[in-house]
Amino acid sequence: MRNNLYTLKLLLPVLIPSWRFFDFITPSPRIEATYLKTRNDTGTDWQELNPRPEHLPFGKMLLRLFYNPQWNETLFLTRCAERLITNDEPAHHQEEIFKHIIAKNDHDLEHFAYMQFRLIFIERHNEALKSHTLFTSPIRRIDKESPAS
Amino acid sequence: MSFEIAIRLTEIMLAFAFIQQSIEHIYTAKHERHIFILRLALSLCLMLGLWSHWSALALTLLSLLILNRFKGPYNGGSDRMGLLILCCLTCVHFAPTQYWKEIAFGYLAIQLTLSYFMSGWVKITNPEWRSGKALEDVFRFSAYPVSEALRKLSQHPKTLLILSWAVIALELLFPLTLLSQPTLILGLTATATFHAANAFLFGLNRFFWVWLAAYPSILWLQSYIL
Repeated sequence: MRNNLYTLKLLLPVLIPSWRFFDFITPSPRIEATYLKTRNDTGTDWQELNPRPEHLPFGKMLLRLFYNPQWNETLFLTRCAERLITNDEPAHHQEEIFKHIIAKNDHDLEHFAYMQFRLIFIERHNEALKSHTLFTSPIRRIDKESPAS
Repeated sequence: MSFEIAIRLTEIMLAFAFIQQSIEHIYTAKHERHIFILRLALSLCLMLGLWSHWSALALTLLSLLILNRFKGPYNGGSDRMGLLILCCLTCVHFAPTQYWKEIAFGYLAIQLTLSYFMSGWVKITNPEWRSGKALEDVFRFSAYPVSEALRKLSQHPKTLLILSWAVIALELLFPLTLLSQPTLILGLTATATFHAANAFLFGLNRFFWVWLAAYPSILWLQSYIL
């Protein structure tokens, strides 16, 4: 019963949409991850998840009209970050971000046993851009067999 | 455009959009791969017109499962529009009479019109959009520009002011294109170009395919009314 109500709650905005696209430009999240050898290490080398390229040739833009999985995954994780920070099912969205980061970095994870991510939000304050770290995750053991656990 | 042709076109275009999305998911969503392989198969059935009623219903149920799995749409507005089209199609297939079939499909056409008008309305009521500042922010620091080079567009406020008003005008005036078939075709060409630009600049490729899939509904409604 509770599950049906939850599905209905998700379905209602689909059937009666508000269509408020880009009504306000809100602070924009970036996800950064760091990898650790032991649980007691402190992360210093924070790497942005899926950084955008400096240039994107027209041909690649055209190709991405048909096939753009990594970018859509990035947009999904951006939404997870926004929902995590607004306390909308934070545990679920934290797990989602952990899972995707670990799944993406198979090769880099050979030498590390733990990882952590943080959310940096960028916004305009008057004319200057300001960034704030609004969330730092707990340190997570990397389980290569079952990344979400 | 006849009702039957509009429905068939919607099925084909929506199935194409779902196939495109499913292939992307099969690449990224390693833990949900089986769900998207099933979605791919059902979309192929819908595209080919095989058991269209049941394919649409099964896709709707699968979409609800996916909605639950991700605690909301995976890709925001494009997934919402995709599911709305699918729900309307399923209602068309299972509606008891032609009258109710047309109500369901007409609802989709109205929502498509509202999707543009409401987006334009929320922008024109926001001073940041009217001054071009909001679009400047989109390019300057939002998560959307697909390359760092595109961020430099934020240094051209006059161009962005013109672009902001062009977007607002296109979205707000879209309902007026319903006045005749040539104006509607012109309007839909302009909005499709707008979605293509969003796909190129901001990587919103799923919006492009999904919104196009709703176009037959408005072409049908317009020819039905006038």
